[in-house]
Amino acid sequence: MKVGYFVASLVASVIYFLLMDLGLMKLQGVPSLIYHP
Amino acid sequence: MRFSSFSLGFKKATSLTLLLGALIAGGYGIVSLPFAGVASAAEAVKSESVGKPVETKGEAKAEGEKKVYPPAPKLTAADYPKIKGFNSRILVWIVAQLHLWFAAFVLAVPIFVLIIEAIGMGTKDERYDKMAYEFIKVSMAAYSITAIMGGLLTFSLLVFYPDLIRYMASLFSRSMLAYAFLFFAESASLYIYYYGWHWLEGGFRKWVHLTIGLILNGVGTFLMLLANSWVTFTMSPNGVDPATGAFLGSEWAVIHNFLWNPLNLHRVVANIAYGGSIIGAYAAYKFLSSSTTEEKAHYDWMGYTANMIAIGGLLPLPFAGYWLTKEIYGYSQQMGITLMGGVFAWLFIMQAVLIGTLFLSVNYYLWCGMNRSEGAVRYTKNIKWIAAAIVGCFLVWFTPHTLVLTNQELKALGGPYHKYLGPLGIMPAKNTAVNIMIILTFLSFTLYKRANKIATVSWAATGSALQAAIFTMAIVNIVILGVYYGYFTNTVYKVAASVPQVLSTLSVIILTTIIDTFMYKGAKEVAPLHWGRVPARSQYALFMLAVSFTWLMGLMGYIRSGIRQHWHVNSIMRDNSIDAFTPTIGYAAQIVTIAAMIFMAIVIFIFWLSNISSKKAAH
Repeated sequence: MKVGYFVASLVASVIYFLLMDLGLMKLQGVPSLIYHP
Repeated sequence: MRFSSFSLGFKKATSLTLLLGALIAGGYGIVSLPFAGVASAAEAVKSESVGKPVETKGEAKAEGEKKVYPPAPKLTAADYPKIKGFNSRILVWIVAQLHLWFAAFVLAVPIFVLIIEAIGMGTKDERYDKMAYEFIKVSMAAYSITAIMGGLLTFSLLVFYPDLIRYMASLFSRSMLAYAFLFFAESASLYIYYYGWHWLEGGFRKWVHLTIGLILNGVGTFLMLLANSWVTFTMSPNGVDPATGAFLGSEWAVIHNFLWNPLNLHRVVANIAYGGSIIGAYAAYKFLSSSTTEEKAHYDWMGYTANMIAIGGLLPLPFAGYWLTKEIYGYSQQMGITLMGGVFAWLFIMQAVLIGTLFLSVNYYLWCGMNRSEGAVRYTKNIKWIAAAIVGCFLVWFTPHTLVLTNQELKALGGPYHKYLGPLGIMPAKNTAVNIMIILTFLSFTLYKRANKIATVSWAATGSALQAAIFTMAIVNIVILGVYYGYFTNTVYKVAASVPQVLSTLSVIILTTIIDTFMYKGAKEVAPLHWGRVPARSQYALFMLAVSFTWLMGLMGYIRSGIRQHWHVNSIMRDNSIDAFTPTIGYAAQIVTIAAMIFMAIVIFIFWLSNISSKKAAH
């Protein structure tokens, strides 16, 4: 397993999970990913 | 009943028992486990009127005139028959639990038998067919015992809780009759499926056999759905007047109550996991008692397959459980708080220990299974890290929030919560721990699968890197969601964050499986897989899985029933029997343990019967 592939895959995974979190939180009516008290 | 010693007459008798039992059976769990309260005798509605529509003025009903149904009966302690030497609640409790365990087993086994049979047909590998046949063979004796327990439960309910049963039968009259007739269809399809296994072999006949299996599963699932509706009605009644409990006329409304579908999903998934675990125990029993290498290889493979089925059910099970719990809260906050924040909360700690045991057993079995191939040496060095992480999650998973403390201990601790461990007692920590446990179990499975293989596709390095990144980032994402939203935001964020946590876990399972499937297409075998070459201790992990599942189901079943507290039917029909109190946790655990021991003794008897049925006469 080459390090370069792994880093690139990590970046892709970060984007995937971030978009997933954003979408699912929005769907549940949470205004933003960052909490503003 | 495939045993030669069982006669056809016994089968007929069993069917009759089924019919009788089915008239009202499945109402398990409708006797509450509550505290007493005595209703005024003057208020008591005579049970004779229950279930019969009250005629409108002038007695003779005009056509199209709406029927008016009587209210739910209000009982006094005197309305509950007593028989010397019997405690009605304990009897019904144990019998209902035994019925449920066996029913879960016999409903689940045909589901995966059908799938394995279809795989055998598709791959033309006779081993699958042989294994599927052996699976269904084990469940045949269990089927009779399920029916016997169903009959016993029905008669126990009729004897000890006649008014409650009459009220339930008045609401579910059609579905109870349908249940009885469907049992005939279930029995007929099961017997044809089993006895016709070798008769319907090859070509078109095999298709006919598979179709019968499909019918068997359809009928079995339908039966379970009907029985589930009776149980969930007692928790979240619908289709009746909320003030009086009088039937409003639509049986579908009564069936389709608030908790029906969440329980349906939970039971289907749990049954598959449970069925897999019991069959796994059977395979372990046979493995340990086998003397030849061929037999050991066969039962090792059978145990492995059963364990895979159990894992397949176990991984999504916590999510189905969460949905059911969420819906319980949605229906009644009071019920939800009783469930997880009140008297039953400590049972959830026991549940957490048992679920942790399940995960550890499943992983341990997979790690032992790596012995089957020399190729696994590449991965064995990683096992200790996976084990450490799973144990860490397990510890978080069962850390209690509120401790049972003496005054001195409270003073020494500086309050009811431990400074560092206290925060681990709340749900965000539990959600995080269980999701990581599931991901790590899946990692063990992934490593096991590739133990004897090496990918030959040109993009293997990229594929492995992508898989590693998905595993890593999913865990990081789950931890961030759990820690940030769980401890630094409000409840809205906290609850919402559990959904992307679950989806992160599912993403790992789905995405890495897709990558694995393509990456290991045409893979090279680095070392052969030797079925049967596993240590005996791995088989004890299979036994542990079955026992933990059984005990867990019993304890959680008690909670599900007990959260109704002092009601036979929540807020509609009060339990006024002398046993209408919530027992202590220790007492409840003892009853469930006794029931689990009876169940296990019967299961061992079934395994033994299966053993002697395959032995040839010495002469």
